[in-house]
This record gives sequence, C-alpha cells and structure tokens, in this order.
Amino acid sequence: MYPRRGSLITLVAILFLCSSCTRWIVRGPQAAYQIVSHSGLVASNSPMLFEHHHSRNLQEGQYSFEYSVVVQNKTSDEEQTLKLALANFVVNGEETSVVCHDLKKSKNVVLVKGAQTQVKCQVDLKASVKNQLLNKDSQGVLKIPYGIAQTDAFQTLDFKHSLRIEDFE
Amino acid sequence: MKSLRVLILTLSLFSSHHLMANEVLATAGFVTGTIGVVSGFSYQVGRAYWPKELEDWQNPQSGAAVDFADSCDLLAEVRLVRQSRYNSIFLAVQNHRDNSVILPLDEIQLQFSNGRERRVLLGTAQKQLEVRSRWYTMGALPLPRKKDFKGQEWLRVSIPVRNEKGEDICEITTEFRRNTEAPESEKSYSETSVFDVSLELGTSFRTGRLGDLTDSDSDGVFSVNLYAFSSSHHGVYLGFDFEGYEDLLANSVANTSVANFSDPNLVGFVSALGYVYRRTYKDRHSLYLSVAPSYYSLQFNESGSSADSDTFGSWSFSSRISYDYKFSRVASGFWVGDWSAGITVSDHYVLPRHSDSLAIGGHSVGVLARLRLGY
Repeated sequence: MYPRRGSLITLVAILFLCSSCTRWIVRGPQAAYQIVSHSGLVASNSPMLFEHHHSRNLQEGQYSFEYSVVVQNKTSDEEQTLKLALANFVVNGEETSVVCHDLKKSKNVVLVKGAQTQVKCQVDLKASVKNQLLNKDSQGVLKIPYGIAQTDAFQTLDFKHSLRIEDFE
Repeated sequence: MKSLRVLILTLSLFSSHHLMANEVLATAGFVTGTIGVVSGFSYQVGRAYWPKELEDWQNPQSGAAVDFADSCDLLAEVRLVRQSRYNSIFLAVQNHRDNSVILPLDEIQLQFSNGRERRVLLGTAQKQLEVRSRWYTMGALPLPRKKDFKGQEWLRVSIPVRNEKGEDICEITTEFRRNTEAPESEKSYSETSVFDVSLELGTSFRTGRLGDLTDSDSDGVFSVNLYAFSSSHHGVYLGFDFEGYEDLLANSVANTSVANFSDPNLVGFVSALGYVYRRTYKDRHSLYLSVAPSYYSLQFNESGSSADSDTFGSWSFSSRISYDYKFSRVASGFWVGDWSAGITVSDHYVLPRHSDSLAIGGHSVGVLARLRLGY
C-alpha cells in the first residue's frame, strides 16, 4: 500500500531524528546554584544554568570543562579588582590548571560600584584527577582572588563544584 | 522542548534548599521542586531546558541580563529570561538572617520606564514563600505580557520582604537597563507559538499526467499540517494532503485493475516532512514558507467497498506558502494560544513514474483557506 509506505518512511525519519538526540555520551561536572558575597562583591554561578552550550572535552589523559560566574560590585565604594591570573581550581587538596578571563579576555578586572562582569574559566583536570573521578565522585572548588585595587592582599570567591564523570557509551 | 520549559517553570516555580545542599547536590543543572515544599520531592532539569536571556537587556560588560541585591542580610539575584510566550524573572534569594523571611510573591512589582507597573503571573501558585534562615530559594516567575517590554529603556523589580509576623522589614530592589547601543530584539517582546496545527480546505489543479487522469479542471483538497518551531523563525512540519479526483477518465486506467471497478473513486494522498520558515509582521501577520520531500500516492477504491482497492505512487517535492492573520488570542491560566486564518498556495511536484498500466507525474497546485491554532 503506497500511502502506508509513505507514512512509514515519514515515521522512520522521525524516529531516526529522535534516536539521534539520545546518544550524547559524556556527562561531566555539574554546578549546583551558588551565590556568594564578600566585601561588597556579589557573585553567582548562574551562567552555568543559563548558558546552553558548554564545551567539555574528555580525552586520553585529560578532562577539561568551562565554568562561568557573574560578579558585581554591589555595595563597595572602593574599586575591587578580580585577579583572574591567580585563579585556581582545587580537587582533593590538589591544585589543577585553570585559565580565567572576562568577556574582553582581560585577566585583571576592576569593578567600580555597580559594575559587573562575567568570568569564564577553562579548567583542565590532570590525568591523575580524571582517573580518580572515574572511580569516585568528588568536589572541586574554583577560587577567584579579588582585592582592593593597588594592594597585594586578596581574598577569594569560592565556588564548589561537583565532579563526576559518567560515560554512557 | 520549550513547552517543557513552560511546564517546569509554571508548575514548579519555587523551592527552597538548604545552603549545605550545594555540597551534596550534583544536579543536572538546576533543582526545582513543588511549590511550598521545602525539601522532599524535587526533580532535576537539564540546562538545555532553561530559557534564554533577553539579549538586548544584557549588560555589555557581563553579557548577562542580571542584577544582584545585597541588603537586609539577604542576597538576591534577578535575571530576565524569555520564552516563546512569556518573559520571566529568574529569582534567587539567600537568607543570611537569623530568622525566616517571607517573600510575598504576589506583591513582586515591576515598573517599566513608561510608568507601567506590573505584577508577576502566579495563577493558582503559592502567593507567599518562606525562606528559612541560611536557606536559599530560586525559581522563575512569568510576567503577564511580553509586549510590556517593547520600547522600554529600564525596568525596576521590587520584592517586598516580611518577617514571620507579616511585618515589612525591607525591600529587595534590582534594576535593569536595556542596551540602547544594540537594536531592540523582537524576541524580547514578541509572542510566538511553538506548536501549530492548521486545517486547510480548498481546491487543487493538476498538470501533466496527473491532469490526464480526470476530466475536471480542479478538485477539492483537504490538508492537515503540524508545525514545531525550535526558534522564532525555524521549524519542522509534517503535512498530509488529501486530494479528491472527480470524473476519472476511463482511458487513463484502461489497462489497470481499476478498469474492472464499476464506480472507482480516486484519492491523492501526500505526506510530507520538511522545513518551515516563519516570519511575523506587526504581531498579527505571519508568513509560513515550507519545503519538503514528500510522497504522492493515488488510491483507487471501489465505491461502497473497502475490499477492492489499488494504489500507485511516486516521490514528490512539496512547497507551500501561507499567509495568516491572527484574529484572536486565547489565554487560560498559563496556557496561551492564538487563532489565525489565512490562505495557502501549495505545489507538489510529482516525479514521473509509470508502470505497465498507469503513469503519473506533474504538478498538483492547491489554493486553500486555512485555520491555524498556535500554542
């Protein structure tokens, strides 16, 4: 029956499209919502909720992912500087590589009162950390240093991050 | 997907979670829960289901339509997000006070730069939300009309905060400014449907071997089309056309099994799955352009008998252009739809195909009146 053959082809096409949506393989670190406040700065990791596309890369020996936060100098009359070159990511007491910058690729971001910025970090987990995660879920902490401009003293904005690797392949 | 977002946002607006929960929740993006339930039933939603921000309201420095508040020992984040039918505010509040606070959700007020004041759309949802000491809550609250955002330059969101006795203790205020250096985005104020269904009725004209099958110049056609849009402009459609063939010419089927039918009926059936492009003008006028590979088949039936039938078909290419005028907006709670009426011109180009006894091919052009329901 030709009408049924045409409908069948349509159905098969739909099923193919649907099935192709279910085969994304790797699910990596996830961030629960966090909002923190220090010295007049308010920051949250809500970009992790709203950005729909995150690059994750699981390769032999290394696992990398992006982590973004929004920071605003809400109440401090003094300029606050985010020292992104000093940011780090700690897993089980071990520091791992992280590269952070703002949307203009700047690593030294000065926030006057009312100003805000988005910090994007690329975290590269060492092979040893990745191998640990294959057997045991863990938690990492992204630390973004900040301080009053023109001073060397700084504190950190901390964002906890649940780490796990699931391979559905 | 967008309908799922609407469902999630409207059925589970807010939940509260202990701060410590951050340390144990490895969520698939974002945790929501049943309204009024502090802990217990909750489910997890992938970030892919979350709405996008209002692009033209994003702060150029942060690339986010966000503002924070840090007052009354409360931390708050407010974001402006959009869906096809609603704009919403994403609201997160963290309570650093020693006592619980009450957020009267039904009194959250938005003031637009043109002076218009709006309150969030709660429906039957919980009107007041308790945030315990050291807990946080978050969720999204739909706003009544996307149109309110058109032409606005700033928006102020005011959230009253009360103590457990119901006494006002402070107000959380956040303010947004539209990025006037960027063009105003239609997506920020224009409502569009995600799923459409259209019913169409009209007449079709056939050329080539299809035209040789009958003696009549035109015949009736009925069409059903289902549309699903992934964005304002782009989507897929599934269409079915049923074309009647009157006055079947005896010599066109002389050497087929149909020749044995005493009173044969002939129906053309087109099934198509393809791409649709949509453009909306001034909210009420819309244009749908669709193209699709399709399959055109002819089905012969003996009148009054379903047992005697024969079919013959060929691959085809379908293209359609439709104009719609939106004449009614229907809203019931959070459900919003619209009715439109219009006209469609369709063309099915049927690839030539023949068997020993029957040959088809050519164009089938239809002109149809249509009624469309958008959701």
